[in-house]
Amino acid sequence: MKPYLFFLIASCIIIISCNSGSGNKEATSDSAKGTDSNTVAALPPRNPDKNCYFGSTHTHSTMSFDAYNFGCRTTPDQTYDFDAGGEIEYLGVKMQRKQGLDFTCLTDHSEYLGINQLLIDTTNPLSKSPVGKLVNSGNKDSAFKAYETMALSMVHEKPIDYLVDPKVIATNWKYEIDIANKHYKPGKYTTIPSYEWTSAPGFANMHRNVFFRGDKLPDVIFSVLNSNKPEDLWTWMEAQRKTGIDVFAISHNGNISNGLMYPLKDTYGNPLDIAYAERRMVNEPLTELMQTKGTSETHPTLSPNDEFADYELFVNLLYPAKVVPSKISGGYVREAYGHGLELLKSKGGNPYKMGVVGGTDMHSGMNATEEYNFNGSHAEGDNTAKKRLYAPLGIGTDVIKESAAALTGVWAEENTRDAIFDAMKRKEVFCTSGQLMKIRIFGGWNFDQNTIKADDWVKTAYANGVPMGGDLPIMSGSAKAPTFIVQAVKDPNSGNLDRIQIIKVSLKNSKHFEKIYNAVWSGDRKINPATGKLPPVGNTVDVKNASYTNTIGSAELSGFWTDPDFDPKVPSCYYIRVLEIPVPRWSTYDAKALGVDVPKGNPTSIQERAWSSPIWYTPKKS
Amino acid sequence: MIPKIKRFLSEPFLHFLLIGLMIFVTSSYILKRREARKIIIDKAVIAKLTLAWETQFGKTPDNKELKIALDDYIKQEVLVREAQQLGLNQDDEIIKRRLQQKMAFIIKDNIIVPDPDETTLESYYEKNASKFTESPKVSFSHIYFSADNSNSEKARQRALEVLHSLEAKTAPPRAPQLGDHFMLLFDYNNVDKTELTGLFGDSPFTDSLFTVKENKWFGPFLSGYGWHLMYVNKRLGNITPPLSKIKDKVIDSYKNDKLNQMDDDAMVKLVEKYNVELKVD
Repeated sequence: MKPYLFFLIASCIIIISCNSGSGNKEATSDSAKGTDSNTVAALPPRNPDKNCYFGSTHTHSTMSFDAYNFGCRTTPDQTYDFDAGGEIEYLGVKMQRKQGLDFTCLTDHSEYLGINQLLIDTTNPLSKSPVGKLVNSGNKDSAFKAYETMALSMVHEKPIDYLVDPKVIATNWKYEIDIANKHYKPGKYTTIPSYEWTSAPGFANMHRNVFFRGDKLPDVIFSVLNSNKPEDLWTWMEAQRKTGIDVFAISHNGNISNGLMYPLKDTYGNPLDIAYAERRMVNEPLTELMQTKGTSETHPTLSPNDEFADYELFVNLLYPAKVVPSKISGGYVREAYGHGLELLKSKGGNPYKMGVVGGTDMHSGMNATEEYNFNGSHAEGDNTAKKRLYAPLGIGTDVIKESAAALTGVWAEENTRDAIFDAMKRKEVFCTSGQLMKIRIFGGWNFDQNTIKADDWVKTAYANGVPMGGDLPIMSGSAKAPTFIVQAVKDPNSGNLDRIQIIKVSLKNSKHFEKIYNAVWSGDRKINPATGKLPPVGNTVDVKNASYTNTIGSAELSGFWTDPDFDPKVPSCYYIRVLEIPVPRWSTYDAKALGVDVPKGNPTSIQERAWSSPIWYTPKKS
Repeated sequence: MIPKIKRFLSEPFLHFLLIGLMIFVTSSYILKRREARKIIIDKAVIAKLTLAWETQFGKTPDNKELKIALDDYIKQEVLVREAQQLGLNQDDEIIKRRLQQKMAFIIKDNIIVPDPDETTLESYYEKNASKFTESPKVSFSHIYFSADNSNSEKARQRALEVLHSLEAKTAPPRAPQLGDHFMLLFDYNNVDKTELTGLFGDSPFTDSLFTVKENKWFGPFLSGYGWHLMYVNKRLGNITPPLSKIKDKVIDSYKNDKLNQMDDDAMVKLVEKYNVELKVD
């Protein structure tokens, strides 16, 4: 009997081992980790009148190939710690915001995401590759060369094949999600999973940041190495939505897009039509108005009558070590609003009905927007006062042109991913040049001087009108012109307020025009009847001591405004711009620290400001 | 003895068995080799490739595109298996790291931390009291004197006048109507310094909320907006809430610490299974 037994056992073993060899099991345990570290505490009740939350929609950590090669070693963990108000060490210096933020979108470049961490691993063959050697050389110039090589490969659409293993990128994207989930504290501090799509054909900045609601996320992200055409990014986002992933994109730096950010033709040269308008607005409801590389609201050549148009401009393309001015028309938001209205009239669709946000785009891993607390935005390129005042940035413009800017204000019911994401989608958001000023505008047909005097005016405003980002309801029978209520409350850690302006963009003979009205201002200044302008608020800045006093301006401005030049037959849009009194620019603090004068040709003080998303009026179709 | 063995060895049934076993072993070896060289394209594979294509390119692949994806898949399978045969997966840092990560997740996922009993929880709470200590908080009411459309000195003077009127012992703990309209709130409960710096600025007003005596009007103090008088009702120092009030929080913290500790222990046990030899000449 024994042989039988042996035979039986032997055959069993063989069969078992055969089976287990062919079974191709995949370990999946690491893919389903959600927000495990968040113990769900009771949230404060949702506020239907909405609270104001501040954050940045644009930052880079050491996971971005360029930030790393500039010398930034700030990890995603540290980015969130810093933004939430904590202290971190940055290139040997302790950094902390005076006031923490409410939310952060860490938008590392999807291209070559986190690849430097592999390149510096000497056991990895990639460390011996051409780019790996540059990264590991240990000197700053070679590291910059590595940045240049990678950036150029993106500009020229020639991916460096050994650096684009999709599995590596997917793993690093998952890492970014995990860290974002870890720092998300509903009700206190929100992180929104996001990344940057870095398209730059011919060095024209066509970048978009891509944002996800966060409950469902893609494993693979669409980068410029897939395509540099925004239309293809939209196709990808549309496919994501079909699978239940909520996503939109925000364009940025129209100012250095060579006039391509808000074009009058699509990427293939076709004139824009209603279909383009609809697609663009679903996929890109917002645009970034300001960041460390300048303001994209308007330019003095586009707005010659706007005495505040020349604000923190950054006008050259990001060419390595070359000065090439960016084409102006097509690159600024106010002009795009006008073109949008023209297209609405001629083609029936407005592709530029965008709300506005602010981000820093700082490649330091920190949203450091306080003028008195600015330590540069490009790591080794600008981390000392001396470099900031005198060094060239190496990409088109001197470091001193950088801004300590910008932030987004969001009006939302609560500080959660859902509430902030939804507020961004409905454009109830505004951009500030970096401070935490709260601004509101409501439009309707029957507001008056007394509306805002009531204690519960916000309730009335929502009930009888629309907030920033909205469309005016159909004109009511007796109304003659739209009415607006506006309010601005200063950042208690920054300058007082100078004025609230209403900026109107509308059409005359099918061409767009803009008009600026001063609606509310501090003090007893009178509008000059000859020029129509309000005299300046004054300037308390002591340049030598880099200080100012809040002896001018107001802590709060609020009031009522109605359009005196309203034409109900043409479409229009209205947004507010709120100015602070002058405060020292960051470079003035640096000059004081070094005991030198601010280099000539640069402002010593600035009037920080905030811009709302517009409210649109569309005539009833007859 | 020997004839018995001889008889046993010449037993045809034994031959039959041995030959059978040989055939079985050989054929299963061949089958296994063939199995190792087999690349099966089934519905699951196609579904996986289709999904990957959709997420990457935003459209369902047509037949031509599916063929491209399939070709890539086959090439990948072939190269991976060839590489495995050559042992190329043996000392690769990326593969090692990925396996390390997967294993670490599996170990952690399989740890179940039991709920602590009352005594365990109490002793954990006592040992880790500093973890649950809250920063000082203050509850107060204030009166605001705006300098808007006026000037700072005038606003301060107005505040001083009101303060004098509030120096009587019967002064009310709340009197916003004696000052100006304020865009935030007049009353705050249990707020800490970080929050106050955001609300009122890094200012003498914010600092004084933590130094003045309770239950009396003080001022005027300058905030980021203007002048204020303040009446502090209650201040909570560095207090640690009783366990009963923060039980859930303590349990979460305990379980988290315990999980990390058990994870470390599991790692130590795993390492103990191995012999680490030091060979340094």
